[in-house]
Amino acid sequence: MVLIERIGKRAFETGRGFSYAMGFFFLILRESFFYIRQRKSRRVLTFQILFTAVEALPVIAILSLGLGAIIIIQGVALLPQFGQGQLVYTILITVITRELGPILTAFIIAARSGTAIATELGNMVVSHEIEAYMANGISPISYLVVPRFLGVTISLVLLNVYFNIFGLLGSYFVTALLATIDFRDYFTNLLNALTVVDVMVSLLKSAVSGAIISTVATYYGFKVEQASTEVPVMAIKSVGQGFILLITANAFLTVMYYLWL
Amino acid sequence: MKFRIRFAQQIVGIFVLVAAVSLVLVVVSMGANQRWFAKNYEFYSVFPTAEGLSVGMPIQFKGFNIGRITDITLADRDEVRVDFYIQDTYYDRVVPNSILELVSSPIGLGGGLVFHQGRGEGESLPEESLIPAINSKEGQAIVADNAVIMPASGDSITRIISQVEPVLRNVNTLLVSVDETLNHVNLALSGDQSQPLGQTLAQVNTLLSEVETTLVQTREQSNQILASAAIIAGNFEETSDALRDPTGLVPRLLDADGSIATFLDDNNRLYDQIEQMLVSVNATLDEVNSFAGFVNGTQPQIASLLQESQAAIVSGQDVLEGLSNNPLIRGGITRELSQPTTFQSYRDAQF
Amino acid sequence: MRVELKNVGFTSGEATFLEEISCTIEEGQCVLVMGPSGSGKTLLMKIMATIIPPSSGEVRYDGVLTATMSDRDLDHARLRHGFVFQDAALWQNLSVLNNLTLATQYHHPRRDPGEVQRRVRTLCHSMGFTEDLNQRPARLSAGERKVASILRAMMLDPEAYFMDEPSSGLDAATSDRLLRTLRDLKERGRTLVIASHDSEIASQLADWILVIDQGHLLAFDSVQNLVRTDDQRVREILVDVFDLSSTYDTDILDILGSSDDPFA
Repeated sequence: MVLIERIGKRAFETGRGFSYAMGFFFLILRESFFYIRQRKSRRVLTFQILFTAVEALPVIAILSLGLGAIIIIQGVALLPQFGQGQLVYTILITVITRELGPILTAFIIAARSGTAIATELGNMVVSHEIEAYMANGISPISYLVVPRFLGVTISLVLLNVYFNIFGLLGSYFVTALLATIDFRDYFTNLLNALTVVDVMVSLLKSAVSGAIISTVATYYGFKVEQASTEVPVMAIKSVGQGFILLITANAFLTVMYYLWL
Repeated sequence: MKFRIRFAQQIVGIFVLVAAVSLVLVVVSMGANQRWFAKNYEFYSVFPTAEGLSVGMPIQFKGFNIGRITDITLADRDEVRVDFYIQDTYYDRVVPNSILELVSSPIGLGGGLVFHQGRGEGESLPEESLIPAINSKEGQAIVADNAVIMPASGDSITRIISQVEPVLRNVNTLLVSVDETLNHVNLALSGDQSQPLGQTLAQVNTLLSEVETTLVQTREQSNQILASAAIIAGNFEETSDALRDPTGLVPRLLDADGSIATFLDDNNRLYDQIEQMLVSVNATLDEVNSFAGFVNGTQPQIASLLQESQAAIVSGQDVLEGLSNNPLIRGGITRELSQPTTFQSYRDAQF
Repeated sequence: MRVELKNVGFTSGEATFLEEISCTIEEGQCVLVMGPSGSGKTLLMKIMATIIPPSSGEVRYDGVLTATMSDRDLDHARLRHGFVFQDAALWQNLSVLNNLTLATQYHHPRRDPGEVQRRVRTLCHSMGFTEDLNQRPARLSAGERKVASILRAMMLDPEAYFMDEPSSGLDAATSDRLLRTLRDLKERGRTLVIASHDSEIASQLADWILVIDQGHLLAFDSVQNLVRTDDQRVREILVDVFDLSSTYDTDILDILGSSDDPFA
């Protein structure tokens, strides 16, 4: 009985937590709308993009360069043996643009900026800075969360574009050091394999991932109640929960892509 | 203050700009590559069946994709309406009398919708006009008028068959004429003919001159066939010489379970028919011959003419008999080319 | 600004922190919130300031129920008062100057920066704050941070002030300036709600005293009435709060009675 009671309690709490999180998310969306419309100072947003996107660029670049180069080298070596040499472009688009690009950038940003945001907000809660914002008539959602939400979302979309630039263009040059592939051939075939839907799906995935990372990070940041020891706990939770949600959302979008398009 | 903090706005601005510009560039070059902005000219065609057709199927002209099928619908009178477009760069090829042909390869792979350009210089057809299929009434008319440029088929058997068909048609007309003539002659000889015999003979004369022209034509075409057949027979002779070796290929190919045997084992029905036909032609010609003997005095050339055609047909019979006896004659068996590995992996390289 | 609390309670999980608190703070009143540590003073003041919503009961500003206000109206309602946190709660990622000016910039983005600067200088001068305003709060001492947070609360010149231990950690001179400032605010008709153990503030400023213990409202009455109370617990708390362990009842009367209030 104790077990059942515990399960029931847990389920109830999870349900309440979920509905609270959804409410939180819609509040963020509403405030984001006002934020965009009101044209308030963009300083916080600029800095968020600087910290999230620009500073993460080297990691993203190296990752996508390596990934793209591996696909090209392996593809060029293996696929023609089955008479499917053209498939390398489809694989590049599928992996870099549609599937791995969005989720890998999301993982990096979740681990990098997600923790930073959760920790920062958690510490602000502990030192009553959040309450100080409220006392000054400044909504923490619109002043703290929205710029982070928009910043991370925009950053992820931008980073995804850079991931594709490095993964598709940069990796060509890496591969060119090892094998000779005609530049014009490569790009004509690549552009033929690429469709607008691929680009849209990729960008949509990034935007959704960005929204998830920032919402989860701010949510767990605000979940800190009193003690500074809660801060790392919540930061870890934000990453764990964020990863689960990211994988789920990306899988969902991929399934939607194959079902509908 | 740190550099990147002080110039945060500028750094982020450049960062966003580069991403946006590359995105736009990619989309634009994608569009240029995939012809988003080029105009497509819409046409339609009518096919008896949608079998072998599919939406998105490319339309080829001299091996180039010049358009695609956009829609296939079952229209009134159970016709299949096929809508397709032709890319703007190839629009000037779409001249009147152009037709479409659905080509399927013998083994069921490949093939496609082939566009045959109409003959002669003309204005391009307006959009939404009909480009007939080759097997439609309009299409056949265009082909019969030779108003369309049809490329020579690359397959020797197809070539022979396409030549045999008009020959047989000619022979048929010839035999009908001969039959009629003999009727007249019989009537004249039995005295039932109201016209004087001389007139009848004059008629026979004109008729035979027609027969002559026909036969000359026939002979020319037959000679072409025979030439092709001779080449094939020559090839076959070589092959059969090589195959005479009892342990050679022939026993294997003609093995009851062998594919060739199955392919050609129709109990000689086809060849029996041809032979029967030739026998009856022979009989008719015998009659003609005897008739020719009768009219030899006045029309001596008929005999030689008929003898010639008889000789031609007999030799044709021989060839066909040869064909019937030799299962490998149908274009022979394409020698299988062993495909060398076209690619070597990096690991195969010598260091 | 008139602040009304009706049957306000606050619970979190199983624990109850405040229960059935009702009181009305009239405009221009100076209320001293007293109680031993952990009695819920800070929580009560945050609920009064609508920083924390109560679990039960209602809070009204000038008769308007705050619970039914939209988020935006609530932000504006909060602007009508200043709040001084016990731990100062300065924004660590902003300079002291930005801490002072942020609310102004946020709510009045078109206000002349020169005017804002002048306001900052005037306030700093009045509280004797001479530190470099461009440094981060982390470099200030605890007392300086407290002063900065008081200045931050005063920047927009609100109608009411909630101050949680404003005088703790201040040196004598600064305490004097604070007292003077508070008196000035009171004279200008500002409502003051102060949680303090400072007998100076108690004797010189308080009109009413609110005593809570373990989340229960023990007394909310004017100073004159409260000094004559025969509630033993209230007396104990007053003694405890003022850290006069060895005093007799009369001492409390001395302390509070000396406010022979010119303002009452």
